[in-house]
Amino acid sequence: MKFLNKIVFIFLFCLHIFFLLSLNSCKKESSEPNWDVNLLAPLAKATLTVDNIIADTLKKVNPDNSISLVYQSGLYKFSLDTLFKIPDTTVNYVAKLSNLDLGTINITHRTSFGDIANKDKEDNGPNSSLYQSIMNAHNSGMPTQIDPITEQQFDSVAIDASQYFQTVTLSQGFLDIKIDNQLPVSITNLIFEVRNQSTNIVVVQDTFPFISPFSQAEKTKSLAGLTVEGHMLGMVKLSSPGGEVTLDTSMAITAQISIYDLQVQSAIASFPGQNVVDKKEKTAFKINDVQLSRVLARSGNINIDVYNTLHETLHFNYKVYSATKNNIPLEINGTIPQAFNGNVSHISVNKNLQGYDFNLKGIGPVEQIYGDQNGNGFIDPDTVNTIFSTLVGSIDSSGNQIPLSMQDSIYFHCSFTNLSPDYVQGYLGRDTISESSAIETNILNEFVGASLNFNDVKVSLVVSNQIGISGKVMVNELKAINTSNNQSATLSFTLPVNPFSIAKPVNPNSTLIDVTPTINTLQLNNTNSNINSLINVVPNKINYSVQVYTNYNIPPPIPGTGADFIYYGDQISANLEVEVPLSVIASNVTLCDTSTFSLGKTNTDKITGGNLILFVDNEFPVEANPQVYLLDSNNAVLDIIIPSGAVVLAGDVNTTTERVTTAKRTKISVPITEARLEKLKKTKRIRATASFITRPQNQHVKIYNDYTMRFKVVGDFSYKLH
Amino acid sequence: MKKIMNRIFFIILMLAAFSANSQFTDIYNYFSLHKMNPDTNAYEIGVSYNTFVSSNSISNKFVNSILFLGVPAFHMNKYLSYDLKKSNPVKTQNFFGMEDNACMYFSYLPDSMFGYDHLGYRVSVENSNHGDVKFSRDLYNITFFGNKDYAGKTADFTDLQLTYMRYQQVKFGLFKQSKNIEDPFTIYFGIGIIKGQSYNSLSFDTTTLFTEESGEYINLQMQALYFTTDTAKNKSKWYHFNGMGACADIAFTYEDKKGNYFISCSLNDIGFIRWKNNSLMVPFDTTVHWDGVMVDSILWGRDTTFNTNFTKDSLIKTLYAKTKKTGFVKMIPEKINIAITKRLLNNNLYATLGMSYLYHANCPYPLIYAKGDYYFRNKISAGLQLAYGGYGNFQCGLGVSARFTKNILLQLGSSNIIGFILPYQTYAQSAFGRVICNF
Repeated sequence: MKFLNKIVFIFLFCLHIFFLLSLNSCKKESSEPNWDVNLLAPLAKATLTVDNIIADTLKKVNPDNSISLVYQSGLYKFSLDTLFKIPDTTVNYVAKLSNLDLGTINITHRTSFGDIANKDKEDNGPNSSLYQSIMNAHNSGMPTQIDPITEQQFDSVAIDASQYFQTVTLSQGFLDIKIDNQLPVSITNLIFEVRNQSTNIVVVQDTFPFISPFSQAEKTKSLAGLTVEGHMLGMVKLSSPGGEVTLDTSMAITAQISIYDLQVQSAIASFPGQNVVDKKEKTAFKINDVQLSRVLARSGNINIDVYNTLHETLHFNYKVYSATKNNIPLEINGTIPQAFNGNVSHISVNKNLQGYDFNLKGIGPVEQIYGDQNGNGFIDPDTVNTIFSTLVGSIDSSGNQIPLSMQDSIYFHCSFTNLSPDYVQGYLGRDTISESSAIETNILNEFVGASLNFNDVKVSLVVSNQIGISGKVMVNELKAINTSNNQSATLSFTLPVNPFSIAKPVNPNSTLIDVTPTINTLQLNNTNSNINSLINVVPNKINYSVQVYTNYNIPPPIPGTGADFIYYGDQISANLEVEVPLSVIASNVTLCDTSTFSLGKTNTDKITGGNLILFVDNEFPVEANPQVYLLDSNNAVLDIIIPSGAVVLAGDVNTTTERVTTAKRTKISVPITEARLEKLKKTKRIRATASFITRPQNQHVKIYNDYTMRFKVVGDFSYKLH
Repeated sequence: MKKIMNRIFFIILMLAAFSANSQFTDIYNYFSLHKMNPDTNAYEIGVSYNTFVSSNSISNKFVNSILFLGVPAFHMNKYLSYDLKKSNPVKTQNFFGMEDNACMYFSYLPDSMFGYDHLGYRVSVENSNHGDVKFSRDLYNITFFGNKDYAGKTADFTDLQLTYMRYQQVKFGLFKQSKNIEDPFTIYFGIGIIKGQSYNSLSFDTTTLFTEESGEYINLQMQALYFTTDTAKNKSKWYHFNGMGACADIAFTYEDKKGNYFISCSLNDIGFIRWKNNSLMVPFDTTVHWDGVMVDSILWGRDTTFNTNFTKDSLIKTLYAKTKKTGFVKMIPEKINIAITKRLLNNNLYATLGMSYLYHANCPYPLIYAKGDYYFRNKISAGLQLAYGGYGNFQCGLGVSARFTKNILLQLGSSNIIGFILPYQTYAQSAFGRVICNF
C-alpha cells in the first residue's frame, strides 16, 4: 500500500508545486501582461526501497540479501498477579485480663504480756490473780509463778488494707498467718479470725493448738472465692497453762498476716503497674493450594485497631516475629486511654509493610531463636503461609482505686491489607490458566484478498518464562482467518509436539538481578504441522486458545521446602513469531486507498494545461497497474487520472542469478487539462488503486533488499506567466 | 471621465506622431542659446518632454502590449499571443532602450554679466527615467516560450545587461556667445546635481541553462550581479533620496553665415550617481542541479497535507543568500549629438545631417540621421527625419513647429512615426514636445 501511496503522493505533490508556481505568478493579474510558457521541468523524485515498503520491525535481511517478513505478536502474559494474590488477612483478639495482681499485703498484730494483764484486769478487776502475778513478776524481776490464762479474747482488732483496695473478690490468693510467741509461757488454743468489717463475714479463721515459748507457728489459708474488704476486724483467742517465769510486760506474741498471690476476680482497688494481657498468636494467610514460605513485601499495610474497656490507661505492644526489616521484627506499640463513663476507648495504628521480609514458616523459626513460645515444650516444625506474633498489654499504677474485673478485656483487630510482594518463595501450586483471544495481524494486511503463495513459512510459539515455576503449554487452537474472503485454516499437528514443556529459570536470589528467562519454543513447520496452509490463507486475524499448566504433575513438597519463586514484574509471556521468506508468486494483488483531498485556495485559473510525466525505473520483479480516481463528496467518480492501460513494468529476472540486475523504465503521461483542473477543484477524495503481479508469472520470485523503484515526475505544461 | 482622458491622451500622441524631433536628435536645445539676444530675446523659458523606446528586435506592437497595457485607445491586449511573441525577429544579440525626460528651464542673456558681454546662464530642472537591456535570443525564448523547446539543449543567457534608473537633476550653466559677424559661435558649460530615485541593474556573465531531453533535470550555471536600490516598498518615489551625484553638460554651436550652415555639438549628462549605502549588491556565482523535490521525507498515510514549503519568498531568500548592503557608483547615460545644418531654399529649408549616441546605456550603434525642416511663412515648419542605428533599425519621423505669437513657439514630433502605423514591422517609437517662450 505504501507503494501506491507513494505514487499518489507524488502525483498530488507535483500538482501542488504546479499550482504553487501558478499562484506566485498570478499576482497583479490585472495590471501586468501575461503570456503562455511551455515548461519542461523535474518536479519531484522519490525512491522506493524495501525499507519503504516493509517496516524495519517486519523485515529480516538474509545472508544472500533476500528478504523475509518477520512478525511477532504477543499472545498472552502471566505475571504474579495472574498466578495468585495474597488476600487481605485479619487477626482478631478479644484479650481478657489474664492477670490482676494487687501485690502482697502484710498486716501485723502484736499482743504483749501487758495487753494480757490489762485484759485480765479489765475482765476481772485489779485484784485478779493473773493481773497481779504478771505485774509482780514484772516488778520483781524474779521468777514468778504465772497463773494459767484461761481463754482470753481480743476483739475488734482493726485490720486496715484500705490503702490497697476497697473491696476485692479473689479467684485465687493465700493468706499466711505467722504467730511469733515471744512470751515465756506456752500458748494454747490460739484462735485467729478475720472478718469483713461491714458485712461481718468471716474471711479467715484458724486455730493454733499449742505454741511453745519463744517459738513460731505458721499457717496458710486459701482465699479463693472470697470477697475481702479493705476494712477488716480481727479477733484473737488464746489460752496458756502459765508457769514460773521471769517476764517483762513488753514481751509479746506477734501475729503477722501476709496476703499474697492474689488473682482478682474483680476489685475496686489501686492496682500496681503490671502486664494484663500476654498473648501469642499464629496467623495463617489463606492462599488456596499455594504454600508460601517467604514473601518480601513490595507494598501493603498493617492496620491495628485496639479497644480498651479498662478504667486504666493501657499500653500495648504487638510484635510480629515473622516479619523483619533489617533483621528487626515488625513491632507496633500504642497507648489507649482509659475507658471513660462506660465508653470503650479506641486507637488505630497503621504501618507500611514495604520492605518487610515475611517468613511464613510459622512459629518454628521463632522458637529456634527465642525458645519455646507456645509452651508445648518443643520446637515446632516449619509450616507454610503462617506468621507468629505476640500481643502484650500493660497498665501503669495510677494510685487511684478503680473497678477492675477479669471480665474486662482488650479488643484487638489487626489486618494485613493490599500485601503485594516483591518476591515470593514456596510452592506455588498447580494451576491451569486458560487464554483465548484473537490478534489482528499486519504482516500481510496489504495483501488481504490477494492470491499469494509463499515458500518455507516458519511459525514459532515462543514462551519466555521468568517465573520460577515449571509447567507445560498446550495449544488448543490456532486458527488463521482471512476476513475479506472468509477463508480460514486451523492448525493441526502431524507430530506429538503439543503440549510442550516450560523450563524453570534459575533463582538469582536477589531483587537487584533480573531473572534470566528460559526460552521455550514450539516451532511449527511443514514437517510437524500444516502451518503453510494457515499462511497461504493470507490471514489478517488469528484466533488462539492455549492453556498453561503450572507444576504440571509435580506434588507439593514438604512444608517450607518449596523452591518456586516469583519476582515482581516477572512474567510468563508467549509470542507468536512468523517468518515468511519473500519468495512469492503473487497475482490479483489489488490495493486500494482513499485519501481526503482539497485544493483549498490554490489558484488554478492560469494553468492552461500540460502533462505530468511519471518515469519509473523499477528493479522489483513486480508489475503494477496503478489508477487514481477523483471523487466528489458523494464518492462519485469525477475523473480517472492515469491513462487506461498504463503499466509500471516489472524488472526482468535473470534466470541464472534469479535477480533483477537492470531497472526497467516506464513512462506514464498524465494529461492535465483545464477540464481536469476544474474537476480537481471539486474533488474531495482521491481513491488510488493498483493491481500487482509478480513476473515471471507462476514462478516464485525473491525480493532482495537492494531493489529500488525510482520515481521521477516531470512537468510538461504551459501556463500563463505574469 | 476616464474615457475623456484617454481620448485626450490619444490625440496628443497622434499629434506627436506627425511632429518634430526627439531630444535624442535634438539640435535646437542649444541652438536657441545661440540665437538669444540681450536686446530682443534676453529671456527664454521652456518646458519639454520626450520619450522613446527602441529595439533592434522587439516590435512596437509587442512593446505597446506591455507599456500601454489596458489603454483602451490602443486596444492593447494584455495577453502576449504566440504569434506576437514569434513575430519579433530576435537575433543573437538584442538591444532595447527606453527613456523619457521632462525638463523645465530658464535662460537669460543680460547685457553684461560679471563684466562680460554676451554671457548668459541657464537653469533647468529635469526628471529622467532610463532603461536599457541587452539580451540573447535564448533568454528571450526561455522567457516568453519556456524551456520545453530547449529539451536536450543549453540556453545561453550570457552577457545580459539590464539597467533601469530614475533620477532628477538641477542644472546650472553659463553660455558665451561670440558675435563675430561671419562665424558666430556659442559655447555652453553647465553642471548639475543629481538626486537618485531608484536604480536596478542585472548583468549576467557566464549564465546557461541546460534542460535534459526528457526534462529529468535542469542545470543552471549562473554568474551574475544584481544591484538594486528597491530595498523597501514605497521608498522609490520621486521625492525619495536614494542616491546623489553630479553631472556636466558641454555644448558648442558654430554658425558660418557665409556658408549658411551651422554645426551643433553637445555632450550631455556626463555624470554619475552614488547610490546610498543601504542599496543591495547581490552576486550570483552558482551552479544548480535541479532534479525535483525529494519526497522521501514526507510522511505516509491518509489525509496528508501537501505542503512543499516551496514559495516565492523562500526562492528569493535562497538567491539573495550572498546579498551585501553597500553603496555603489553608477554612470548615468551620456548623450552625444553632433549635427550640421545647411539652410537651403532661401533659408526656408533646414537640412541636417547628424549623429547621436548614448554612452553607458547598452546602445550598440550611433544613430545616424538626416532631416529637413521646411518653414512656411517663417512661422510654421514641418520636418521629415530618416535615421538608422541606435538601439533599432531604420526610423522615419515627422515633426512640426509653430510660432503662435511672437514669443511662443510650440514643437511637436516623433522620430519614429511609422511605428504607430506598422507596429508589427517597426521597432522604435518616440514622441517629443516643447513649448518655448521668448521675450
